[in-house]
Amino acid sequence: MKSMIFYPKKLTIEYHYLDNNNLIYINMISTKNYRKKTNNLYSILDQIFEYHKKNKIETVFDNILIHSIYSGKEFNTSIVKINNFILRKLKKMLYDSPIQINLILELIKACQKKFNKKPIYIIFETAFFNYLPVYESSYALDVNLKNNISLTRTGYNGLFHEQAMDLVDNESSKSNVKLISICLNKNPEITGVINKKPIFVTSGSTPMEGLPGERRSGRLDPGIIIKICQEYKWGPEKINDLLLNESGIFGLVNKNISLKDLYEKNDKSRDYELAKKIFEYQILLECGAAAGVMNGVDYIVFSGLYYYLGKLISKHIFKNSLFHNNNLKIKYLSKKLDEIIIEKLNNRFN
Amino acid sequence: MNILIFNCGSSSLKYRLISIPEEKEILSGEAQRIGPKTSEPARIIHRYNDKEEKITAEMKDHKNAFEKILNIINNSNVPEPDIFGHRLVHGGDFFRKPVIVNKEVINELMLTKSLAPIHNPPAIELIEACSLICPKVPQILVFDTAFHSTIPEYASYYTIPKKIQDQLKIKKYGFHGTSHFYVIKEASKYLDIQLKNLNAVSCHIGSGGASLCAVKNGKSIDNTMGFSPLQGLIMSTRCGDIDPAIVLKLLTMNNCKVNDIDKLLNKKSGVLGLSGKSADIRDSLPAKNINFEQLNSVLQTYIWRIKKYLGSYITISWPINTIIFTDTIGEEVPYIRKLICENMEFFGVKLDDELNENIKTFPMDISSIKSKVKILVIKTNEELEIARNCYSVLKGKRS
Repeated sequence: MKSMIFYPKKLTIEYHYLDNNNLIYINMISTKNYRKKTNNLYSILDQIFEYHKKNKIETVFDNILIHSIYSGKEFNTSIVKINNFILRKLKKMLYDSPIQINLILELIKACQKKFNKKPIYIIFETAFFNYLPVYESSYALDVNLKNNISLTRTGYNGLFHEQAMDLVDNESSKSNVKLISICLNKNPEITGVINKKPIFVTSGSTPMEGLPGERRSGRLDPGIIIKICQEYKWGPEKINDLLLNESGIFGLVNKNISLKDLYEKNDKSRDYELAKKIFEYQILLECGAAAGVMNGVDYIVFSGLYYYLGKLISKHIFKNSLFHNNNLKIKYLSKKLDEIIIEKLNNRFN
Repeated sequence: MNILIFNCGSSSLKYRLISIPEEKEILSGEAQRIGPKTSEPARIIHRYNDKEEKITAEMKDHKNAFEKILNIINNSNVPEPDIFGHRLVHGGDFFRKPVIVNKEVINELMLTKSLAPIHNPPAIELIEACSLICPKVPQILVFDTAFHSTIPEYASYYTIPKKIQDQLKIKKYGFHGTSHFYVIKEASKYLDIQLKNLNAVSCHIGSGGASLCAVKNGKSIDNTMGFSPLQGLIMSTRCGDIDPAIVLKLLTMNNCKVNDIDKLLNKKSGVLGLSGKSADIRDSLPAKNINFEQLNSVLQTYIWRIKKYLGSYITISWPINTIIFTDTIGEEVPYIRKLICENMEFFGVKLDDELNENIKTFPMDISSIKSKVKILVIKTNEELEIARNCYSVLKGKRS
């Protein structure tokens, strides 16, 4: 089975062409450019696939998959086939996530026109977290505010966590297995799963909250934002940019490096060592928090782009710790997001 | 030696006269509604000889309040104070231990004003008033943040650009240090474990502010409050941890009126925000003890946050000797202690329900015999801790 997976992001749409699990071709569309030039996603797709044809790049596929971070409360399963009913539901989500959902709707429309009759599926990351308990998802803010803005905590790497859960579920005969799933992506995330339900997650109502990322701040004292506003007279947009693009590991080492670089570059400078310690400390704190609300842990699974760093990190943080015991199993999930998505699709057919 | 301890709030001034080393309280009181006129008149509640007296007095500032308090003390037929001891909520990076007031100290103290804009300016005003009115009485300052100066760098750093952290002196300072240190020392005595060997989580759960402190080898290694008291647990009117993006959204919605957002997060959030009715968590307690899943969402969310931090702090302080409950809620509400300690067997924590319900004396061990971790309830006494600090500073100076 051949598939085309689209990953719509803020400024780009990445697309991956796969033959089953084998990645054949990868490319990217700049949404900034298409908006500037044509304001028509269909014509961009048309040009790209004409180019493929001309250059004999094989991109004949059986189905189209569109990756969506946000599922709202409308979708409780992580994969759905697009039809008119689903489109109506998606339109309802425009209010909560206007930029992303609008782009997805445009993409669906363009794909329907360009690849007539090919089945289109949408894959949601946050659907996994739709049943987070209210006491985990709530913030202690004025109840009246909740009518005006979205104030619910959710997770953003649901597909990886779901796979980690399936891995543990296949292996363990125990009921009520307690899992801490650590997704080591550019914006890492930890979730606590008990009895196949997530009850704890580090991300917030946006991915800004949580563990520090390669460039995002993660958890922050709200008083710091107030201080920055007061002292620098910066507005929300500038602070947003600071916290999403200039913070995290980048903010600490003052270099554009990935988590992989941080661990593998063997840089012994004080900034690198401190950044590693801060990152690992935050992971340990969150593992403790997850164990605190689950009354223990049976499995810890590392997944995501940098899943392999989990070996080093767990060696550093779990040594001589409460988690250092024979009953705890640590696993590493090497699957890529593409593979997980294709597996989801196959499971749907089976 | 008699030490008059001052605990200065933005519009209040608590005082307590303690004789040291006997550790005997002679009198105490509180000046309330200092500053601009409010719906009720300013007053001083004075306690002496088991009697409480309410004295109405106009107090336009803390200097004024100090003069009135001094008058009342002079009329109480007690020995004059030998030392003034002050509680300062924030010492920034300047003060990591108690200090005797001199000109240099005052100058450095001025630099901490912006770190605690509500508490430090009136405290400085009071210190200056003391110097002016009683120039011969030495003054000693005890800082809440000092106990947390041992928090390691990796725990006190935020992951925003270092340049900004350095410029704005942003780091995790931690709060309630005087209380945490007091109960830690009491626990060390009670458990007969040397302070340098004590690992603990101290839960200072007040009816207003609240924080947990992770203690390793008798030293603070983390505190739920951070750069400001806003971070961490859900408090009476403070929000605790929230997504930074929410603060930015609120700023956008309010046309960037920072003071309004500051007020919203500090005064209208927390338990008050969740319930929409009351800022006191005791008003959300059920009529009878029920299990966690049946509780109202206000209490669930409040307890859940504490359990998360408790799990984190037990993990980083592992292996721990004790969990300590203190301050109003921690000392007086057994049901909240029960909910917090429930389902914590993984950490070796098990509460004895009967002991928990029947606190007869402080400190009290309320852990089950099956519990590997001692659960203690200890009555905090920040003023006594300040007096002890003042005494040891003076003793150190004399020896």
